[in-house]
Amino acid sequence: MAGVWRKIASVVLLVAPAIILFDFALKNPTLQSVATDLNNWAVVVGAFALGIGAYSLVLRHGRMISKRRPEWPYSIMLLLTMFTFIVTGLVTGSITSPQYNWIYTAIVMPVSSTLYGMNAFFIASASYRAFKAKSWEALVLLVAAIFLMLKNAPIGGVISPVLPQIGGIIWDFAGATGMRALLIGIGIGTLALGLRVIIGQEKTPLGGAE
Amino acid sequence: MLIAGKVSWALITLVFSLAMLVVLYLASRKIYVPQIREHPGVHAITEAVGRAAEMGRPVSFSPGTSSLYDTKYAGDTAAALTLLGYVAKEAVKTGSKLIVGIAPPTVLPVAQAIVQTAYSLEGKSEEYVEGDTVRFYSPDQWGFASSYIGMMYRERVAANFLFGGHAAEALILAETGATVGAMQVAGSTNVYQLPMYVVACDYTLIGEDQLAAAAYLSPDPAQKGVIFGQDIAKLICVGLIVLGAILSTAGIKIIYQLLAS
Repeated sequence: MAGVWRKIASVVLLVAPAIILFDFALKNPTLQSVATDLNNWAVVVGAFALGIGAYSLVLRHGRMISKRRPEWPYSIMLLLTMFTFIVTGLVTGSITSPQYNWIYTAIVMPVSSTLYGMNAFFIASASYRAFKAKSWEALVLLVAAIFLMLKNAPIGGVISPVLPQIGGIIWDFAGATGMRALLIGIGIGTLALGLRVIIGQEKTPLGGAE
Repeated sequence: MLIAGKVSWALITLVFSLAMLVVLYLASRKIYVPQIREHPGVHAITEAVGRAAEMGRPVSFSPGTSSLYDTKYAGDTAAALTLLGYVAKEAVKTGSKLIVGIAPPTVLPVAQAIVQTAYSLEGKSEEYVEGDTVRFYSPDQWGFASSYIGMMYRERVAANFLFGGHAAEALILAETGATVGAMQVAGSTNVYQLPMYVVACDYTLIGEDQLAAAAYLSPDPAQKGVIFGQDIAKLICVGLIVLGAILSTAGIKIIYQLLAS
């Protein structure tokens, strides 16, 4: 039975991307309509998948609470928060209701912003490790980074107007060309991966090894 | 009827796909099997799992925060899932505990199936724990990041793999991995996150390396044929760039007009 499902999935994987690809390049109302439907189905499947995610969370944290595993009170907090969100959304009937919005702006947003803000400290610690010139490559990285910092920080221009210019040259020429070369490779690599999946060479995204 | 502005796109896709398919055919028929250079980052995946087994500590894996139908990073997610299959097999073989952290709900059932299959193939189905081996954390970027770093600290992971589409949380995850002393292999096509990985991780699969990693690891010569086809496509690109630059300098805009058509 699993083999039959795998075959059906392979056919879907062959046909669906082909429709989307042709819709991108061809002007055909029928093709466009089918492609739009396929995209909508993906959104619906995504919504169902969220239910599987919620089930997985309840299963895992329910087990942690019942077995009194270390830090189990946090699991209670997680499940309480999750169900508070769900109940608030269902009772108010909208995710744009003031109550739902209040939970989001008063709890989720500050916590997310705090985590995002922590990036600054992580960048500092990562830079410290990267800028230890242990090899020639690290030395090049260090020198380039110093010039780029002097380009962006006002002190660079105060020391000498040449310093920001050197930083600009590194950014515009070395950085931009390297990035574009990478993007070309990424584009071709994505095409190759898509091709491997479509023609059935790569079976893992179907949910398992061959 | 072709849409104006997408003619060149259609032609390039067709030419590149044909190039890859030809090499794939030659490799599958063993008419021409290309030799692919050794990639230290790809080999480090096996090494990291082995190290975790020796230390008796878990292996953590993140297939990213992008969904399978993400416009920009769906390829990354697909590549991450193929690598998950390999890491899962290696972890089961070596007896390491595997923890997979999931952010997008669409990836969850696929990742569960991949890991479960890996356990079944090695005859260790009982070691796969529903909801624990593959853990759904949160579809929210920061909710996922906080759960994943919490897991790395609590479990003291010895190997950490960060693949797929990661955004601003990439550095936080990678730095935490470095702090807990994990051997880390990461990969991304997000050019803004690559420097973060290069700095914080032991090995980084840059751009297309991540997309081709599963083919590198495959014993099937046909898979390597696609990588060779990829290189041919890149050579065509380089040729077009050089030719276009020379012709544009001489005032002939034929390549430019072809690509803009």
